[in-house]
Amino acid sequence: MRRILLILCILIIGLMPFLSACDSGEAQDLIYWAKLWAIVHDITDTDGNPNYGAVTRFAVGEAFGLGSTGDEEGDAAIDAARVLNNMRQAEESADQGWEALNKGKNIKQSVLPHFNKAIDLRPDDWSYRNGRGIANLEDLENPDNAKAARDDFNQANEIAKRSGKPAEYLRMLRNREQALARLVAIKNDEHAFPTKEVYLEQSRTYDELYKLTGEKSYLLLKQQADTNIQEGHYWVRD
Amino acid sequence: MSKDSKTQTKPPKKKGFPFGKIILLILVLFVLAAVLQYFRIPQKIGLIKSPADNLFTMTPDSEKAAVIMDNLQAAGLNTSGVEVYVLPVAGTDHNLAMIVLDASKGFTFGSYSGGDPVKDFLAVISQAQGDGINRAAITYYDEEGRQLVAATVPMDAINAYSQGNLTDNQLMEQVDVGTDDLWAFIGMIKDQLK
Repeated sequence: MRRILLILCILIIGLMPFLSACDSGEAQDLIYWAKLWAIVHDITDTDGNPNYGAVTRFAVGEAFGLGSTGDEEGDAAIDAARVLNNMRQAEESADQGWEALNKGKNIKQSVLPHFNKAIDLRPDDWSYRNGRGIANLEDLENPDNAKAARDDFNQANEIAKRSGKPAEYLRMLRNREQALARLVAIKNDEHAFPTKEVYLEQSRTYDELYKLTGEKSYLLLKQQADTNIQEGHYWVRD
Repeated sequence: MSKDSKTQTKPPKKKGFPFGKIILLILVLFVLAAVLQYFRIPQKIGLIKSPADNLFTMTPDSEKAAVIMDNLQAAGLNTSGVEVYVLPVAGTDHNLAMIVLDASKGFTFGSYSGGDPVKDFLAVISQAQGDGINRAAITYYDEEGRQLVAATVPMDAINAYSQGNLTDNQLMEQVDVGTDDLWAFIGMIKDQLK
């Protein structure tokens, strides 16, 4: 994304008289801030006259790739168009995957393609690996579903650990735990059962969360998942 | 004087490019590099990663984003067509709160009924610093779903402003803005002000 420093030379010159003529309430507030921004960044003087020297300097700097906010994170925030587009598309795709999964659609045909697309767009986002892993747990038509799910969960673990932050790994585990709990709740609401693999993964996840956080609620939730397995409250392959 | 010695006195032929052509070639390469850089071609074809590609690789924090969205709604701001992403910055403990205003999903500036929308927005965002958010950004998508403009400001400046320690001018000094489509952005402003 090109810096506005370049745009403003045209914007201020072309629109300032137009902006000044506008008198609607919230628009005036926005215009006040835009004008102030132009003044403090030396694009115009206080009367709205453009500073051609500053504009030329900015334009030349921009053309040679020297335009910068002076802060790497600021540059990234301004220049995030492509990343943000990928993120929004991936999010939309994953939402479609969850919706199809919750509606009980065919996993291979109607669920996995959405998660695959999200992963292609954002390969370092562990939430989509967790999503696809859970979808695989529910795929009783695939005899290797548990292995496919394990592969996804292992990749999610690896991505979270790669950050070097224990908090990130915990965030990833909580994301998985919450997604599993949502799936079980939806199945219960429909008086249906999840697969045995879902309860097994729930039990494993709660156990790890209990060990990492020491929160007893996770221990109780693990016991509940184990009880569901012992009492056979799950769906099995024919 | 023999025939052979006459031949030896001829000036040797010049080899390679003349100096003028070299200068011209350098100039052409210089302009080409500037054009490639201006249109961000190396980033677009993946030769160079943008700062965003390097820093925003981690999974967005949906829990923190939900808190900000709740705060926006509680403050009475219009959240139709608004999305919030909290992006952890790789290799740091920093987070960027990215607020997307998407006209193609129902956002309009005109539906705002509060006071100064900028001040109201800053008041809400200032609450997020406790969640480890150190920078806020806003980006606007037009009715065709094109990203037109983005603005960003550090949380320190927002908090100082909210506490009355910065003037409007000092706050604006901390704000950076960028656009991907200059003409569409100008057109959008004209449309909004009609």
